[in-house]
This record gives sequence, structure tokens and C-alpha cells, in this order.
Amino acid sequence: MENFKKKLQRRFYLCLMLCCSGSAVYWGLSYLIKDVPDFSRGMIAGVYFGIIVVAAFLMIKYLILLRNEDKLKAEYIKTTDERNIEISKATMRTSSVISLVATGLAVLITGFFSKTVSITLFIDMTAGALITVLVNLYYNKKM
Amino acid sequence: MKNKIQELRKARKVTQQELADALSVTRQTIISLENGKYNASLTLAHKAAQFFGVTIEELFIFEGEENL
Repeated sequence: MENFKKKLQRRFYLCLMLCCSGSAVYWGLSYLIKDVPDFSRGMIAGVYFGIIVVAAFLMIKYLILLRNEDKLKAEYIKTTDERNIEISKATMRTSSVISLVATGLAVLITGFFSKTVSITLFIDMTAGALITVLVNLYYNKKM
Repeated sequence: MKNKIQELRKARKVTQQELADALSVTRQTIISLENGKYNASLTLAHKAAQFFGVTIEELFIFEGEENL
């Protein structure tokens, strides 16, 4: 349980770091680069505030858990429950395969309409596949 | 893989929640184990066998390779 507490504390500080670094990057770039189209500016602001809201929500959740032993124990069981872990693994596996296949199809379809979009999707797909291979190699060595 | 978790649990008058708490898993995991929807890991099988005071072989009935 102590390890879990430390893990939650680490996650709290990671969220805090994300908020601070995200804010620094957002406000810094907003100050330095003035010539940004309205659409992009709106989208960037939306993403930034979305990240801040999610990070704040998680930080509040971690604080509540760290101050309440009963809730902490319940969360610990929920997090370490082997069936839940198995479900997460299966979900990630299936969704990554679906995502890869869907992106592959999108590369083919968009190729008929827009070269830029098709190439962007192709790079995204290749990067995704490369990351999967590297992560697989890492776990092959680790286990 | 079949198991005798439900049988032993009822014989000992233990609720699913009590068993879940003793094995540090969620009640949903106990339900899935009892329904045969989920196969326990070696660690959980060991813990469950210890809880009931039986061997793993007595608690879990291996019926050969699955999904072949």
C-alpha cells in the first residue's frame, strides 16, 4: 500500500508538472508567435484548457485518495485487480489493431483526394507501427 | 477451466465481497471466476487455494488446452 501511495504522489506531481510546462509552453508561444490563424488559435486554446481541466481533475482525485484510507484501499484493489489489468491489456491490444487497420484504410481512401492528408496519415501509421515494434522489443528483453 | 470457488464459498458461508476482500480483488472478479468467464492467474489461484485451505488442483479443474 505504501508503494501505491508513493505512486499516487508521483502521479500528482506529474500532473502538476504537466500543468506548469503546458502553461509555460502555451503562454510563451502565444506571446512569441502572434501570427496564428483564428481557427488554430481556438483549437490550441481548447486543447490547452482540456489538458488543464483533466490534470486538475486527476490532481483533486489523487489528493482525496491520499487523505482517505478507505478510498485509497478501494482504489488500490480496483487498480491492482488482475481482471481489470487483463481487460485493459485486451482493450489496448484490440483498439491498437483496429486503429492501425482504420488508418491504413484512411491512407488508401484519402490518397484519391488529398496527397497531404494521405502522407500525414501514412507517417502517423508508420510511426505507430514503429513504436509498437520498439515497445514489443523492449518487453521481449524485459520478460 | 472449471473451479469449485462458488461451491467452497457457499459451504463456508462466505460472501463474494468477503472473498474479494480476502483475495484483494474486486467482487466482479469473483463473479467472473465463479461463472467461468475468467481464469485466475497463478498468484490468485494460489491465494484462493490458501484461503479455502485446499490445493490448487482441488480448487481448479484443468480440462486440457482451451481455444485450440
